[in-house]
Amino acid sequence: MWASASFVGVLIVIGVPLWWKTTEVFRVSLPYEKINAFDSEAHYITTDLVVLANDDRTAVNVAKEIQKAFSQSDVIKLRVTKQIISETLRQTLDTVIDEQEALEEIAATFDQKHNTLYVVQRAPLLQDVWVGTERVVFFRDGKASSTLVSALDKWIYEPSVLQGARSESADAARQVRFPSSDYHVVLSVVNPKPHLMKVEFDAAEAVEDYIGSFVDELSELHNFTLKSQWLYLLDFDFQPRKVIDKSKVGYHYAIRHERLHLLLTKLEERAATHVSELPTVNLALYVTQCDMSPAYIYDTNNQKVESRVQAFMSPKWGGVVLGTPTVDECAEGIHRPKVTQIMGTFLAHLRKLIGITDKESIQNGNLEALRSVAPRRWEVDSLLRIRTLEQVTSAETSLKSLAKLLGEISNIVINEEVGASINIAVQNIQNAKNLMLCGRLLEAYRASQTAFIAAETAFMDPSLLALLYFPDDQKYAIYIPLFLPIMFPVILSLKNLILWFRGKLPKEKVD
Amino acid sequence: MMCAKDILQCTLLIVSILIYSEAIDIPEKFQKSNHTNNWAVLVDTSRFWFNYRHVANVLSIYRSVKRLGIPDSQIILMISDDMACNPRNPRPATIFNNAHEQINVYGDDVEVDYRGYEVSVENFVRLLTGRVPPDTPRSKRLLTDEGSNILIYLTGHGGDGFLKFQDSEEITSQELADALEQMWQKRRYNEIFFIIDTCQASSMYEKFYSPNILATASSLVGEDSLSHHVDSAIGVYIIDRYTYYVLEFLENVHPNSKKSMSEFLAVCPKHACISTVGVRRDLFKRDPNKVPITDFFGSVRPVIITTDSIDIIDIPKRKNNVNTTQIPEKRAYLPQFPVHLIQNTV
Repeated sequence: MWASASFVGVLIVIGVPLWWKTTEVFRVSLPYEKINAFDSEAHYITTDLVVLANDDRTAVNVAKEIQKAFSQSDVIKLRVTKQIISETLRQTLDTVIDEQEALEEIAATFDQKHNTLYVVQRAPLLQDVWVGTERVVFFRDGKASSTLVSALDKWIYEPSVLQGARSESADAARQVRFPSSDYHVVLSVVNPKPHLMKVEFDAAEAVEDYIGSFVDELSELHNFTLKSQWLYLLDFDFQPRKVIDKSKVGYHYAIRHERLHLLLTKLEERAATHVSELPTVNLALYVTQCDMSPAYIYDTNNQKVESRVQAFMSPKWGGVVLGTPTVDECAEGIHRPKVTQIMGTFLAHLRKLIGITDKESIQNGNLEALRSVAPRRWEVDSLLRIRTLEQVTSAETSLKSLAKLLGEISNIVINEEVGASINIAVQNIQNAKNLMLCGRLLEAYRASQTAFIAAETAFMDPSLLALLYFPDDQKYAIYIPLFLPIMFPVILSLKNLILWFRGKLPKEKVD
Repeated sequence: MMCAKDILQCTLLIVSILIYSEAIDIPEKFQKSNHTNNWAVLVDTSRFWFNYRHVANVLSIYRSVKRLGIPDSQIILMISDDMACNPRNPRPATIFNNAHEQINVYGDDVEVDYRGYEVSVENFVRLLTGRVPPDTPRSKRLLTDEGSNILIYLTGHGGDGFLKFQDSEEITSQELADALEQMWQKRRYNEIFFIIDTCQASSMYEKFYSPNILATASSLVGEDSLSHHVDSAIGVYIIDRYTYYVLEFLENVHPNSKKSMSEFLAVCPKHACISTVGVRRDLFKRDPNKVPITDFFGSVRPVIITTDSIDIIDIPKRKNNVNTTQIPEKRAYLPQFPVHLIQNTV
C-alpha cells in the first residue's frame, strides 16, 4: 500500500501541478488597466499665440475673436497672450516697405521657438493678412480678424488634419502621406534610349543640394537617407496620340491618364528600392523619347495639362517628372533638364508625401509663395503636431489590440523584453500626453516617437510566436498518450488506497 | 374602421415603394471600395515531382495578378519546391499549366520570395502577422496597411481542418484564423479575399472570425478536389480543376473589366469541378455582386497629376556634407589564370 501511495504522491500530487506549471504560456504581467483606459479621441495639443497690436483695443478684439473661433476645437487649444508693440518697433515696422524685411525685424526682436506664433499688426499691409516663412502672421487692423481666423484655421493649425491624424480611419491627408518612420529617398533618372539621347543632369548633386537642404530642415522629425541612380533601357510604351495644335511645331503627343499608373509598376521593377529597410520615397525623372516629343499628359477629363513641368505623383509611393526634350534638343541628341524646375516639382511632391498639406487660397489673405527649398517654419510645427498625435494614437491602438489579442488567443508568449517595451510605450504615451497639454511640442514629439517605436516592436516582436508549434490543444494531445498508460493503474489503485486510508480495507486472506 | 385599415395599408405600400425605389437607385454599378493598395500572397505548400500541378496552379495565378497590375513588390510568392529545375522535368526551366505545353508559366520574370524549405508554417504565419525576424529584407515582408486589399491563394494537400506544408508539418484552421485576427487587430488589411484549392478546402475558412474576409474554396468538407488533366510528355497532372476554371475566367478579365466578385464565386460549377465550390460571405460587409473583381486581382495606383511646382529662386547648396557616405572604389582585374595559387605550392 505504501508503494501505491508513493506512486499517487509522485504522479498526482507533484507531477500534475509540475506539468501544468511547466507547460504554461509565459507572460509577464502587463499594465492592462492603463492600456484599456487609453482614449485617443481625448488628446489635444496646446499651442501659444502672441497677439501684437498697435493699441490695446485691437489686441483685445483680435485675441477675443481668435479665442472664440478655436474654443470649440477639441484637438487644439490656444493659449493667447496680448502685447502692445513697443514704439520703436512700430516705427521700424511702419517704415520698412517690404514684408520680408518686417519679418526680419520681428525675428530679431522676439526669439522664435517651436509652437509659438506671433500675430502682428502691420498697418501698411495691402491685404488683410500676410503669412510668410517664419512663425509670424501680419494683419492690417481690427477688421481683418475674420480673415485672420480663417488663415489660422486653414493654413496654420489645420484642426481637421489633426483630427484625421488621431482618428481610426484615414482621412484624405493620411491617405497621401507616408506613415511615420524614417525614410529612404531615391531619385532615379530614367533614360530609355541612351544611345540616341544623352542626358546632362547631375543627379547626385541635385539630390544633395535640393533634397538634402530640404530634409535638413526636418531633421527633428525624421531621419532620411538619400540616394540617386540612373536607369537605362527601361522602355515604357506610353501609347501616345498625335494631336495637331497651334504651337510652333504644329503638333504634340498626348499621354493618357490611364497609362500613368502602369509606368509606376514598370519603374518599380527596376528601381530596386526594397534594398533599403526603410520605406522608400520614389522620385523619378523619366526622359521621354524624341519620337513622342513634345509630350503632354492628359487628365481624366481628357484635357491637356498646361504646366511647365509634366509631372504626377502617387500617394505613399512618390513622384514622377517627365523630362520632355525639345525639338532642338532632339536634333542635337542631348537633353539638358532644367534643374530648378524639376527639383521644384519633386520638392512639391515630397512635401505632400511627408505630410505638408496643400494650402487653399483665402480671400484677402496672402500666403507668400515659397522661393526656397526649406519648408516654412510654421509648417514644421504643424508637421510636429500631426506626427505627435498620429504616433500616440498608433501606439495606443497597437497596445490595445495586443491586450485584446492576449485575451482571445491563448498561446501568445510575452517575454520580459516585450513586457519591458510595452511598459516603455505606456510610460511614454503618458509623457507625451502631459507634454502636449503643456505645449512642449518637440519633447512631446520625441516621447510619442519612443512610444510608437516601443509599441510597434512589442507587437511585432518575433518571440510572440514562440509557441506557434505548440497550441493549447497540443498540450493534451502530446502528454495524454504519453502518461495515460501510467496513470491508469495509479487511478485504479486510488479506490483501494482510500479504503486503506480509512482503515476499512478487508484483511488479506491468510491461508 | 375599414377605411383606417385601408389607409394604413396604402401608406405601407407607398413607404415600401419608396424604400424599394431608393434601393434600386444606385448611381454606380459597383460600391466604392476604400482600399488604397493591393497585395497578393500566393502559396504552394507541397513538395515533390508528382505535385507539379500545385506549382503550376500558383504560378498561373501569379501571372494573372501580375497581368492585372499588382507589381512584383506587392506579391509574396511562396513555392515549396523547384519544379522547373527538378531532374525529372523533361523540359528543364519550364512549367506548363496546359497540355500541349502552350503557356510556360515559369517564364523569365518570376520572383519567388520564399522557396524550398523556407515555405513553412512558421514563415507563413510570421509573414501574415508581420512578426518576421529583424533582418528580413523588405521584399519578404507583407508591408500592408489599413488600406490594403489582400488576395490570399493557397494550394497543396489539405484535410479536415488543416493544410499540409512540405511533408512535415501542417497549419490548422484555428492557427490561420488567429493569424488573420492578429492582422485585423494591427490594421494590416482593409479586405481579404481568401482562395484555397485543396481537398476538404472549406474546412480552412470555417474558423475565421475576423471581419472583411470573403473566402472561397474548391471543395466542401468531405470532398476531394481533383486535378484537371495530364500532359503525357511531362507525365504528371499539370493543373487542378478548380484553378483551371478560375484561370479560364481570369483570362477574360482585363484591368478595366467590369466583372463582379459574384461571377468569380460562381466559377467552376459542380459538373465541371466534380467537387462543390464553397463560399463564405458572412464576414464580408459588401455585396459580392457589387464588388468589381479588380478590387482584389487588379491594383489601384491612385495617380494625381500635379501642376504646382516650387519656384526655387535661391539655389540651395547643402552645407554639411558630413553625413554622406563615401564608398571607396576598389577596382582591379582578376588574373586570367590563377597563377598566384600555384606559386605557393611549387
